[in-house]
Amino acid sequence: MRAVDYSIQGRGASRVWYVVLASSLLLIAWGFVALYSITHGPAAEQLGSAVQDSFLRQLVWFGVGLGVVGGMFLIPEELYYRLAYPLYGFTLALLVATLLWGREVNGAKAWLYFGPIGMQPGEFMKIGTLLAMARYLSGLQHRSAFVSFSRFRPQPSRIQRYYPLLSRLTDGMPPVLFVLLPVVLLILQNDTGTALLFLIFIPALLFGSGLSVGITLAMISPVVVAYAGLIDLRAALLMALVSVIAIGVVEQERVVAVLSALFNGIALLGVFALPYLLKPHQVARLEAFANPELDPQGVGWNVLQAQMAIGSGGIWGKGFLQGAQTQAGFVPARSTDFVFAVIGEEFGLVGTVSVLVLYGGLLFGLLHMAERGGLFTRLLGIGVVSLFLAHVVINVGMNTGLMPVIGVPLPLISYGGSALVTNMALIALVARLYRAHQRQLRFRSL
Amino acid sequence: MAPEGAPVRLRALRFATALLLFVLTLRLFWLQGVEYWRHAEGSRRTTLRALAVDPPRGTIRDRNGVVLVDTEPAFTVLVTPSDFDPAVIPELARLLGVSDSLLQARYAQARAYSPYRPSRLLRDLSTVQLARLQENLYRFPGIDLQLESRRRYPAGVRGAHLFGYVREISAEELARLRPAYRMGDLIGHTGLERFYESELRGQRGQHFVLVNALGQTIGPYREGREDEAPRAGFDLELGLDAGLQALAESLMTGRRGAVVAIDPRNGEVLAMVSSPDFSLEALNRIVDPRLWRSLNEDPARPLFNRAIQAEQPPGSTFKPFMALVGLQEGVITPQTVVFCRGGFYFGRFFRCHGGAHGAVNVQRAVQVSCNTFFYWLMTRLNLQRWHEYGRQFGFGRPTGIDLPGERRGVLPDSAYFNRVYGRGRWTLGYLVSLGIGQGNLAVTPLQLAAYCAALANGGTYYTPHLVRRMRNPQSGEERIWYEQPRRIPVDSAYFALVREGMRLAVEAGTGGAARLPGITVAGKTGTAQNPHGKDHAWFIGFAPYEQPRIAVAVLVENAGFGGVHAAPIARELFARYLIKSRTHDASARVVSADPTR
Repeated sequence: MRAVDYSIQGRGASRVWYVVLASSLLLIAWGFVALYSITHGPAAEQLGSAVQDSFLRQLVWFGVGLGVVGGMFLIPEELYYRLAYPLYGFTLALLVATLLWGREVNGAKAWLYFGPIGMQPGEFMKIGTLLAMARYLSGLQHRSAFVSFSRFRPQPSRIQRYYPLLSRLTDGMPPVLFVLLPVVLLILQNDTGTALLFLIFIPALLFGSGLSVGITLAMISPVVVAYAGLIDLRAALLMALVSVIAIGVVEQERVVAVLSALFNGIALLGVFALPYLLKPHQVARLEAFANPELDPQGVGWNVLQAQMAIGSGGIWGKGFLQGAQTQAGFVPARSTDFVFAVIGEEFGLVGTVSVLVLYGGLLFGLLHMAERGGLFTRLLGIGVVSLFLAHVVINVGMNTGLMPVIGVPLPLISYGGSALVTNMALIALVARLYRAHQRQLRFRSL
Repeated sequence: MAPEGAPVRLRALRFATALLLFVLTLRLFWLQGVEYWRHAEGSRRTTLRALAVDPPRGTIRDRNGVVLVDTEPAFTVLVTPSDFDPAVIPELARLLGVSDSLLQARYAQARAYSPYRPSRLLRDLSTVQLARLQENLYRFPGIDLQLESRRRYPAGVRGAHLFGYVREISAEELARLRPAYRMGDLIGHTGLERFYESELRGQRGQHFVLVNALGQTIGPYREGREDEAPRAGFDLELGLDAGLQALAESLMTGRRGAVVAIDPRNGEVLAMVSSPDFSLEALNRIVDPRLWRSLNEDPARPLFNRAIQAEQPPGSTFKPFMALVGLQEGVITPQTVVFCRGGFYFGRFFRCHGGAHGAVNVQRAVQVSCNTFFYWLMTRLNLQRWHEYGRQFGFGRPTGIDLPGERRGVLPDSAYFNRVYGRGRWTLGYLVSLGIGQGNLAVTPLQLAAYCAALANGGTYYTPHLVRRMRNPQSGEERIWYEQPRRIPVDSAYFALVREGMRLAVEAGTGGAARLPGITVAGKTGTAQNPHGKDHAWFIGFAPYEQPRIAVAVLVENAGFGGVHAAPIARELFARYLIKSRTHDASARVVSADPTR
């Protein structure tokens, strides 16, 4: 699959740099276009001035983000590696502070205010967590060579010859802990959407550092099975069976297959028992996702309205500022969770596919950088790509009715200063380290 | 330099990325391509609301261009049930100063009609109501204000039965007339408003607005490019004379009865009054049930249009007709003399009035209203032929005036008697009273007026009509009343004879109270026997005798003798209509007419 080797700095290297830069900026531009339509469209006068000001506020945050990115390129690359743990500690402290002194907005105590400026430490936490995990896992490199025996030693296949970083499963425990700490704090803040997204780091980075395919699948498959279970229990059962068998084939350790079967079973049971475990409004939300037409005026409303908005956009859309459905407030949270519906309605298939293409450009560009960076860079890249991918899939999925409504923003597009700055910083992080790696190929592999 | 094996792991992630983005793209193609029409339609439905724009109802003017009925702007409260929280009804009712139950009922109706379309909750807001509601509108999602119009009667002419009232469409009518009408639409219920409903109303337009999720209007849809403009209704021009009508109304105040004045040259109705009447102003808004009950339960029946619905025996006003039939049928000649001894014996004794008239010919008989002559004449006539003549004069059938609810009266023939008394169980004696307009005979004031007009113009029967012309102010289209008049098959020489008799009746007979200085008036009094109480007084007449311009029928119920109670009213009308010097006098009276009576 590797067509050209870009490992030596050359035209290809600068091309990927531009691809990442251009797609990031264009996605941000999409965000401003949508935000302008929401805040300054025909429905603007019905909105509060605070909402109308959000366009300017987001512009300011974009400026802050540019500053942060600029600054990041001035910091010596070594520092990222060295400061990974302190930064993790700092962001974790912010999260604790939020839990103590934060302000509650829309039911989630996720906001920390410094005077008039409010921010969501949960977003910054993503940087800290990712850095800490990448630091720890890339650090395993030096130890792994001496590992002689492990019950869970990966299969000496062609695949497994790659980085046996995780020669012992116990080595995977600290990164899991790095993730679980903020997840617990976020759940305590009642910010479940953000918390869930953190979990993607675990399979992504562990897989990236050599966790066997079987174990990774065993981690992911219960989630997929549970998701399928919401729509159709029989399909979920089939999926669970297939994944258990697949794991059994790929993975030599029987334990993994047995555990996978256990987890999948728990997931299925969980879906079955969900109505008894969850609060009524959460159950209603899940049911509405599975069958929105059942109660079009009730919980399924958001889902249907967003789908209708996107669907009614057609190929070319209704035109800038002409999105009757989104303008009129039929689509909720249209500057954040449902911003994609605004783009879909006003710019049609052309707009939505262009957004997806830009994400494709960004993610493939980042993967390209990850592939050619050092180990540290690679793990960061894998983390950023999987994080973004999860956001995009869940957000676009819920906008188009493929996913239940979980409050997940669209990276770089959705309104939200902390998220914008964080996402810009995450991209810059990968680009920064990639660039350093390209400049100084002999630089100690981070 | 990437280490060996690294690309494999990344390739897996790359594959996952590509796959997931591809799935999302497919989903978008499905939503925005395949399902586009379904969603586009759904989106239109939820975000667009069609507001009905009713054109102003056509105006009604009199023969001189005086505006009798027009519209004035009025605010209406609209409710969109799906956006409205019924829990705030008590608060809204307090704010508007109306009863809780009224709003509850109206809301329930609106909800039943359509939860998603705005319906009228309350019409014709007062300035105070409007100001209060406007200030608090933000507190009531689903409530909107709409500028509409209401009926106004600027000329001081009451015309209660004539114009009729408009009211909100009833549930039954709505079921029949949907979708042309919506709940809360006004519809003419009586009178001209009803008869010319489709012409007056025009055609509703549509104004499309975008609404937000709260149901509040955001603005026009596509800058109004899709709107449908309302099409105006026709303005009606009546043959009515506003001054004469107002005078007739004031003359009938306190009396029970009806007045109809017709232009004998073309059948245009100059005035039409039924008394007692009611106030149109009070009925054109949401009607207080108590007022409605009192109007319905009043023994004087104010809602009853006596001018076209009261059926009474014509009494002696029928005699000119009898004379014409007798002459035309050859039963009598102008010279035929009957000797009146104060009555007529036919099986039993039929009384004449005022003692014995002695020898009377037909003209004299009309002048002095000799019963004996006409009793005798009736016994000589063929009932069937008599019936046919009667129909030629418009008796026993609706005149065809442009008003709803006209009654036909009773004009018997042998079939009628067979039906009422049984075949062979009635005799000629049953018919004798018909000769003097009593017995099984009933006419409406309008029928008598039209008959009088035919007498006045020497035998041409015009269908009486109110509207003589209508014009559409938007399209400029004009429609003019045209109907070929009917020539009554009686020689004009006989008409001249009978008209002369009627002139003499006013000059030196029973109708003396209708006499006017300077104008020759012809007329005939009548008294309809009333088995339930005091007799009803009739008078028919026309003037000027030489070239009649007005023919009148007056009915005053339970008044007694026609020459005393009905003829003076006719005289006032002749004077008002024919003598210009009295114009100011009468119009002054019009203005001072108490609108609340």
